[in-house]
Amino acid sequence: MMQMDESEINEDQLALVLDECLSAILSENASLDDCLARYPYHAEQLKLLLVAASKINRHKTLEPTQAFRNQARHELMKYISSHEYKSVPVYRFALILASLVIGFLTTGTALAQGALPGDRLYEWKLASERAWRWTATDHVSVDIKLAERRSREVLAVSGDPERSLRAHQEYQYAEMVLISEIVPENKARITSVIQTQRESLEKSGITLTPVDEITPLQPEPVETPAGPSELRMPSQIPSSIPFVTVVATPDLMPTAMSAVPALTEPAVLPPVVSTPNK
Amino acid sequence: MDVIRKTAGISPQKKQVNEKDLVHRAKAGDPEAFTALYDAYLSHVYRYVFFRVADDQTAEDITSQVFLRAWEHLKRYRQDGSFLAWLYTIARNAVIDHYRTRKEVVPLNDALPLPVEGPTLQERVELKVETEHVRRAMLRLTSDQKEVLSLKFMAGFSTEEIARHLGKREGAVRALQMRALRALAKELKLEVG
Repeated sequence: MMQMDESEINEDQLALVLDECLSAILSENASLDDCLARYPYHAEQLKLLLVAASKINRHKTLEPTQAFRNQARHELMKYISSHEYKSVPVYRFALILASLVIGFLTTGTALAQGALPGDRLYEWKLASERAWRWTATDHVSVDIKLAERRSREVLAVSGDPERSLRAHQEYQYAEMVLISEIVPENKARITSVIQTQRESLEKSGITLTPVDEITPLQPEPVETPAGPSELRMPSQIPSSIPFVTVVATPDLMPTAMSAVPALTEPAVLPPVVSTPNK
Repeated sequence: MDVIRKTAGISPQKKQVNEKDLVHRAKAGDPEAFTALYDAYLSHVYRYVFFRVADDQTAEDITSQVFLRAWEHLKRYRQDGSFLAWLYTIARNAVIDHYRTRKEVVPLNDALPLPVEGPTLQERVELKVETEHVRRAMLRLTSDQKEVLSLKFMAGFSTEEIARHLGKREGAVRALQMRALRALAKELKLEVG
């Protein structure tokens, strides 16, 4: 054990002495004999290593041929001219950032489409629908699809009183928007959609007050698309707006009724903010 | 530009300033600045690669590749380290790639060009034979051993610089250097009388 330690120490010392000798030879132009004289204790082992070092050191001035130098230079120039170097890749950075943002928005929007009232992504879903509506040319078709979505959401969260409240409010709102868009040309279509949805909800135990009267709006003189954050709201509210009323059945939403008194009886709709046409 | 070409007689500080300036200009897309760097460092890279591959054609190919890759990835180079050290890193990876993708063992090239130096033809021929002999011996060393000897003798790095370049401790580099020279002596069949 002791011997091993000693030999390890000797190896370390020899490595150190060799390194010092090499430094002296390479940078101070010392000779091999100078080094051996400087370290007589290690001379025997050093000599072999330094001779080996001198064999490779002899080639430190090795040069490539002029023919290669010229040819490689020519190829490099050709390569440089065909691969223009972009010094400040700001545009790339911007492109990457934009791609990331678009990717994030796209993924988020796709994920949000399955969100229900009360979910974190539900507001995102509504925002994406507003953007969809804003970019669509046929607002009525979009609003019909949105109303269908809202009615499905009402059914999906019917077991959760807190979420039901929000779902009903959103359905009510979607239906109201649809009604506000009725003109003689689309009255049948919109009425049929609303009727179908109501029947579907009623079959699931959600009773709505009948659509006893739907007053068509007068066509607005100037059609101006609304911004993405606002729905085009009617400038004239129908005199009679059907309300979504939830009938409190024991097996459905037992606590909802106490939590949501406004929905247990015909309630006054939240004030509608009309957006003046620009 | 010429200052960096003849680096022997100038202070390291001036060389550093010129290298920095050239690299800065090259990074800004100046091809002339990059070719000046090529002229300055081609021999260094060639020597570094030379003893790590079996023939000079491969050494030339890899040396060319190093500069093409350097141009391509110049924006990644951060000027806190030596540009030459960065070229050596590219060269090391290029050599590794060469051995990784090589499908067959390349025979040693007997038609090695004669070294330029040497006053007489006989001396040049002798040097060529010895170069080949050393190269064959070097090729039998481990990758680490070849690396440390190339950096020490061909690149002229100090032990401290090698340690920094390879991310090793100086003591480890000294020990590796000693083992590499022992192995080289053995391969060269050196005997001390």
